[in-house]
This record gives sequence, C-alpha cells and structure tokens, in this order.
Amino acid sequence: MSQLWREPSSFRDPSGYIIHASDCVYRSLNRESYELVQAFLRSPAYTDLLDQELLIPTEILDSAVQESLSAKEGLPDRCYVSHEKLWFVNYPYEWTAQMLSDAAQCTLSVQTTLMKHGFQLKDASAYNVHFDFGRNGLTPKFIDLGSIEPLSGTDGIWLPYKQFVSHFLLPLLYNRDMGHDFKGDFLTDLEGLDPDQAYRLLGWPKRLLPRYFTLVTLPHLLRRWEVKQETTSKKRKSTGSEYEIEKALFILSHTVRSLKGKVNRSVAKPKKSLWTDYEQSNTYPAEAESGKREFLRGICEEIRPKSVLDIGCNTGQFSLLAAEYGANVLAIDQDMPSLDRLYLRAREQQSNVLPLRVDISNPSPGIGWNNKERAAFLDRSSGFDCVFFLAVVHHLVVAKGIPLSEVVKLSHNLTSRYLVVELVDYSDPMFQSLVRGRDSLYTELTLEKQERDFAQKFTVLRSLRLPEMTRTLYLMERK
Amino acid sequence: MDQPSVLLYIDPGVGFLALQILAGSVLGISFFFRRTTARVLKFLRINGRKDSKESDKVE
Repeated sequence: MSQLWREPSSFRDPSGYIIHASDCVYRSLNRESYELVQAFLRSPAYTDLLDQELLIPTEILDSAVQESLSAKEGLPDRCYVSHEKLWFVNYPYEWTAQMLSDAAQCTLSVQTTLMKHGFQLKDASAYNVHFDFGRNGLTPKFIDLGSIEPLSGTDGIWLPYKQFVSHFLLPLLYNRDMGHDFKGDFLTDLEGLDPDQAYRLLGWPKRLLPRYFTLVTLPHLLRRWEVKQETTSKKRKSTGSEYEIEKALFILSHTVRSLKGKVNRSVAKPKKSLWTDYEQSNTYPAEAESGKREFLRGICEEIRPKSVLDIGCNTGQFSLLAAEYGANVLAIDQDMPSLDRLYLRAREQQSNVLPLRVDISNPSPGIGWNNKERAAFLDRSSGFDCVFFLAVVHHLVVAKGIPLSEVVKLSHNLTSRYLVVELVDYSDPMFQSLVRGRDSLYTELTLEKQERDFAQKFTVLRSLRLPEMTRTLYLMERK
Repeated sequence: MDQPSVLLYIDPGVGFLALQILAGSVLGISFFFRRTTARVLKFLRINGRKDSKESDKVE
C-alpha cells in the first residue's frame, strides 16, 4: 500500500476524517463512530440511499486491510471504511443556481430516507454534496457519512436547519429575487449567506414578505430569545414514549417537506445573458460551423479521450459531443446562465458532463483553513486526456491581458496529452471588437505567431482552416 | 443511552431554534388532534363491525 495522506478539508468532524492512498479514499474512524457507521452500512437505510443514487458507495474493509491502514497511520485504535472516489471534487461556489437547488433537494431526500430508518443528518452543509457521474449521468451525491447519526431527541427539532438555510435557501432566494451571486458568499465565508447578513441586505418592506419573514426576519427577531434549558442542554432526551417519538417524527417530516417546497419555489428560472444564445447567434458561416463540428467529432472518434476539460464551454455544444464518445467532461465557463442551460441539457440527455463556474483567468483559489481546506481549481485539474480551448485564447490575451506564453504554459499543464485549440487571427472581426483601438498592442498576434508559440510546447498533429474565416483549429500533442 | 452533544458540532442558531420550537408547538397540537381523531375513527369502525356481526347472528 502506498503512502497515506490526510484530506486537508476533513478535520472538523470529531468522529473521523478522510485519508487518501494512491487512488483510494478511506475514512478513518474512532471505534465508537465505526460501530455507528457499521450499523448504518448494514441497515436498509444505506441500501435505500444507494438505490436512489443519493449517497457515495462505501464499503466495510476486511481485517487485513484495516490492520495495514492502522499500521500506516501509526494509530492502533482506528477503524476504516472505503469510499468510491469522486471523478472531480467540486464546491458550491462553482455551481450554478440549478445545481445548488438540486444539491439542496439531495440533502433533504437523504434526510427523508434516513428518518424512515431511524437515522438523521447532524449537519446540512453544502460541502457534503458533490456532483458526480452515476448510472444516469450527472447527479448530486451526499458524501459525508460522518454526518449521519441515529435519530435522537423527542422535540422534533432539526439542528442543521439554520445551516441548511444559510447554505442553500438564502443563496437561492437572493439569487432569484435580487440577482445576488452566491459565489462570493461561499468564497468569503465558507458558511454561505449568513442570516444576519441576509437581514441587513433586505429593506423593511421586503422583510415582511412571507418568503423572507420566516427565513430571515423572524429568526433575526427571535435571536435573543432565551431558549429553554432542556433544548440547549448538552444531553438531549433520547428516550421517550411511543407518542413522543411519533410526534417528533411528524414534526421533523413536516419541517423537511416544508423546506423542499421552499427550495422548489426559490430557484430562478434559467436566465438569458449575452452568451446564452451564442450557439445560434455566432458569426460562423454555416460551412465553418459544420467544419468545426466535424473536425471535433473526428478527433473524439479517433482518440476517444477518457477525460476532457472544455475551457469556455458556453452552452456545451462540444462538451456534449465529447461525452457522446465516452468521455467524462469537465465543462467550465464564467457565464452562469449558459452553464445552467448546459447542466439541464446534460441531465436531460444523461450525459457525463460536469459544468462548473470557473473563469480560467481567475480560477477558484484555495480557501479555508491553511488555504487548503477547499483546494484550488488548478490543484484539482491535471491529467485530462484532452483539453478543448476553442476560441478562448484571444479573449484571455486581449480582454484579460494574459501574455500568450502564459496561456501556452497553462494549456501544457492542464493536459496530459492532447490539446484542441482554435486560434483567431488578429484581423478577425471578433478579435478587432475586443482590441477597440489598442491595435498597436496586438498587431503581431497573427495566426502564424500564435501557432509558433504553441509549437514550443506542443506538436501540431493536424489543423483545419475554417472556411471564410480567419480562424484555424488545431489538434496538438504535448511535447 | 444519552446521546453525545450534537449542539457543539454546528451552531443551530438561537433564532432558528426558537422558530422550530414555535412551529413544533403548533404541529404538536395538530399531531395530537390527528392521532386522537384516527383512534376515535378506528374505535368506531371496530364497534361498527362488532354491531353488524351481532345483528347478523340474530338474523
């Protein structure tokens, strides 16, 4: 067994943490927590959640593997389970509104299923959900087994309620009503949109609206209420009569159902942006468009990449094409409305395309404790068989001011083998519209110059000059 | 067996706890009436079946 390393983001839960060994993911648990986890894994709750594809598959390990891991960690009293590895770790600040809504519904569905079998969630963090590929394409999956505990308490209170509201409901509601971008909430404060901050963002007329009154105003007004001792005491009553237990379940079920309804009503309908209709309204002549599509189709058919990174994917026309040929595709763009459309298409077509909101010129940084709790996008992104960089280079060079040599270096780092790049000549109308009078800075950026720069790190395998355009597509291989 | 302290794991928020207690009180009353109604109906149905069995015997 290779070296173990501890997952930097897994330290808050006292019951256990995640460790990695080459391609395997293990959860290291103390004995008490291991017994709870074992009981859960052997219960119908686990099977039920797996059947619905709501939970990451987990296995109990045999004693030989347990001993080996324990010896490697140097901790004789630890016990282990193994988890299926996620294809690509993703975070709430990289999701679209539709994805955040589906992640919320996943959390509530997990809670509902757990309650049927005598379990519950002890926290409702958005970081417990990751989007991964399942039997039917992209699906949100609950990954944190440490959040599952036996149902306890007879007061019907769901302790993670506030966390659920901060992580899911308020970001969705504010995004829908005010165009508020929740990306910033998760990047600056791991806990999403804080209810006190949400209260300050609303003016008094809005604070009285029904959808805000119970989620924002009333909790804010009640925050100073002296809650009864038995509710805040360290030991919640766990034994009670059958009536009390049934009543608690009735209240909890109602709470979860009510939250489901709120989530359904909170998500914005897919919006339009400057880029959502680009697939239909772009300046490509019909022959160039079909030529580009056939070039890419031919590449996918020939090289059959297992993993593709599509940078600046827009509504994912080429991401979906790559997925048709068996690739798992990570499709990134900064435009949320375009990504929302791609997400809905991918789910409808059951395609293995994971859309994430990432601006490649300013990708998600490492944040949280030690700046490592949530890994930077570039630290998670390596080893893609093929990277698509279609008509993006000139945007980075002109609009973002990134030197071409840096773009070439980044492309080289992201792919393990192939790069499909569409280069745009300086004289192209779109290039000219970006330049806007700063011609002298970019006159040297001809197709030939760009091709020479890429040739320092890549070998050109084939190319296609698009008809009636000053753009060329290249298939390159990493040197 | 007493459960470990879950309150220390996340901050449940006093305002949200209070809200749930208020909602829970209302739902608790609703639960009481629903359960009582269900029991009464069950009792009446059972008695109704007993009565019809007895009248069948008499006939």
